[in-house]
Amino acid sequence: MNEELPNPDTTHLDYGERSSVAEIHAAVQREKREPLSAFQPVSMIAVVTGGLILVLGGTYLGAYNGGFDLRQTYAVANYEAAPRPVIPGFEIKQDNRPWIDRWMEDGKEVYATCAACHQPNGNGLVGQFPPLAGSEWVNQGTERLGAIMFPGIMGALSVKGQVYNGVMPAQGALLSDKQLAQVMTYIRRNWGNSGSIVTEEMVKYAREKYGSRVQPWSEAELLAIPADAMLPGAEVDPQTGLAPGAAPAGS
Amino acid sequence: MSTDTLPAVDDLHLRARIDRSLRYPLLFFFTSAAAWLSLSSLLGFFSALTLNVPELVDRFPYLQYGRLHPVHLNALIYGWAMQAGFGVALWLMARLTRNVLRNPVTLVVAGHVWNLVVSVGLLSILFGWGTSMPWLDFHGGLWPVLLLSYISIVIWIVGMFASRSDKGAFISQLYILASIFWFPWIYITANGFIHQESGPAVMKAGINAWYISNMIYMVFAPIALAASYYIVPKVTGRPVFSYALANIGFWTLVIFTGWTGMNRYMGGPLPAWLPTVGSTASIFLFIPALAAFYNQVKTMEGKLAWANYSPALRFAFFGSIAFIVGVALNVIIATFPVGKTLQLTQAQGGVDLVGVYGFFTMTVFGAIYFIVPRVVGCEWPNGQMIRFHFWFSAYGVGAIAAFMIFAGLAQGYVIGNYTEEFTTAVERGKPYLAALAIGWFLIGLSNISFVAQLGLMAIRRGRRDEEGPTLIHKKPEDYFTNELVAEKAAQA
Repeated sequence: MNEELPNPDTTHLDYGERSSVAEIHAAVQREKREPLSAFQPVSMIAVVTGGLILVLGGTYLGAYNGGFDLRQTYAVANYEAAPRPVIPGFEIKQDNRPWIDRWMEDGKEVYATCAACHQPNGNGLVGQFPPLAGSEWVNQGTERLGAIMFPGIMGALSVKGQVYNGVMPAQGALLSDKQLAQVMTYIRRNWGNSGSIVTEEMVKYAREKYGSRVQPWSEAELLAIPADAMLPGAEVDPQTGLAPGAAPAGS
Repeated sequence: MSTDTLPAVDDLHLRARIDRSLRYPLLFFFTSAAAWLSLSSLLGFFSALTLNVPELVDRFPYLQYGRLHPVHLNALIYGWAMQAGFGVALWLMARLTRNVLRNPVTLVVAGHVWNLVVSVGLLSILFGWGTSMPWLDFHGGLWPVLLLSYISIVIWIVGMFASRSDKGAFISQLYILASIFWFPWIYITANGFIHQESGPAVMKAGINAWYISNMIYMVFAPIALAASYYIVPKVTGRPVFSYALANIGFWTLVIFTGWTGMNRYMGGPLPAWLPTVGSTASIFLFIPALAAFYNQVKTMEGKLAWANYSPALRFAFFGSIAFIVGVALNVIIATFPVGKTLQLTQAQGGVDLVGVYGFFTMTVFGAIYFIVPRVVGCEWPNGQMIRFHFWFSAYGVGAIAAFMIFAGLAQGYVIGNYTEEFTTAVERGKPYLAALAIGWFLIGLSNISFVAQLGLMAIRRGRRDEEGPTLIHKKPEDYFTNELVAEKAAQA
């Protein structure tokens, strides 16, 4: 219908185009004007539908928001996890022994480090490594024992009336507070020793006080620490590992 | 109205000039996109096969499912969808702002850079240097280059909008701009969080899910909506039914989409309200989807049957329906009652595919069927092949989505049962995934027809007779020009 249109631009013909037909290609000619918008108002039913969708979404948000708590990963309020299933071959063993037994058992594992010199039976080697069993350094106040753990000992040291001349390496950098507490408890309550329990809190205090010392102790310096000085820290109930009288966890 | 529908002669010349200025960039984007699409369909078929018969690639670690599947998906996203989107957005923006493109060479160069980065990225996945974050699998060093190439392409679209003569903005322009500004934001955010060393790993997965959701609903969906808001009024010669409804649809999409995504990890170790907000926003997405669909149906009112004839209209209409279906499926999988079974299974991939393929890709096919004859100056060679393309794509994507959701159901019940092993869940999905190979085979067949026709058009071997547009079926009496002539005659 536009055959008679003027042809203002014949210089940009591509190959395969003839100026007579291709200047305004048929597809362009037949197409309608660029789209416009009409202004029909939004119908009532559309508003209601939209409102219903908003209500539906809001209801969902209300039911599953978990209180908008950043630490809450259960969407449903008062969610209770299903009881742990028992799968043959994958039973989880509940350890019902007193806390102190488990603490000592862990301490025994840590003691593997010490056993090379002090021997698994805690008797040391005559003339070379001092014993721990019955040793006054182990059984007296925990502050001396805790102090030894950090820079170690160098030079002559009298244990159970015998003088040993050797080196005790520093342990503080290799073991954590918890491991030190476990191993100190282990050597204080094993082989006939009957010292008090050492807790993580006590070792933490010792680390703060002696942890930065580099120079190993000499006997004279150690003796300057009172023999009955204890590392400060709350006592614990050997049954629960908590402060005496506190309700045990998980009951 | 009838006098309005016939364009003025000056306008005709301007349109012809706009179309010609866009010829090479558009053909470059469309043909390279179509090439990636063919590759992706092929790999979709092959990766579904390797999951069932892993012995096939025993001796080729590069071709195993774990690498082949991300290559297939990333080729679909960055190779096909993004590039086809560039072409459609460019053409729509040029036409709607009445701007002739002045720098086709720059665009083609930037397009080459894009294709190069995508190729390197896909190879990086094959060689095992990918990130294994879905949709962001390319090697971690590539994203700044890809982003720069993106910006150097879309900057011209923004420029066209800035220099428009008509100070108003048609709804399609808003959608295109939203998509263009959204992608850099989510791409920088997602890559920035995922590729930094520190930060909780769970949050990285959450951000990855947020990125995927935003890609579908705020990068791809707006381009497709822009295209259908253009095609439907254009082909039917009617104005868009309601400007207010179109605006509501646009702004609700913009406001709600940014909140979606985390719902993919509901019940996971994220703060519970994050996935829940995502689910809520997913429910709210019904509003933009219904608004767009209602607006289009009302615009086409009385001319719905034209979707039988016009390829553009048919694909666009299918896309609009797929958008609603996609949003509905997304709501089902994003909320607790069903989502707790379907999440973390194949079903999520199926639902995503309804958005990327059923909605975006089908609508963009329609736009391409509309645009390409105008920029190359000849008609599509064969209407029957367009029909073939439509039905095989429609059945293909429908089958894939359905089978992936069924696979998800079969797997979800196993995953939810603590007495079953995880490999059982994978086994349960296998038969459905064998059917998935059939779906991708159908899509691959349909794309052979599409690529063949597009190739003929690109070398300008289309139809050049006087028969008028290539239609899916033989045109009825009152179609296109005939109707206008009739209207004109009735007025005179």
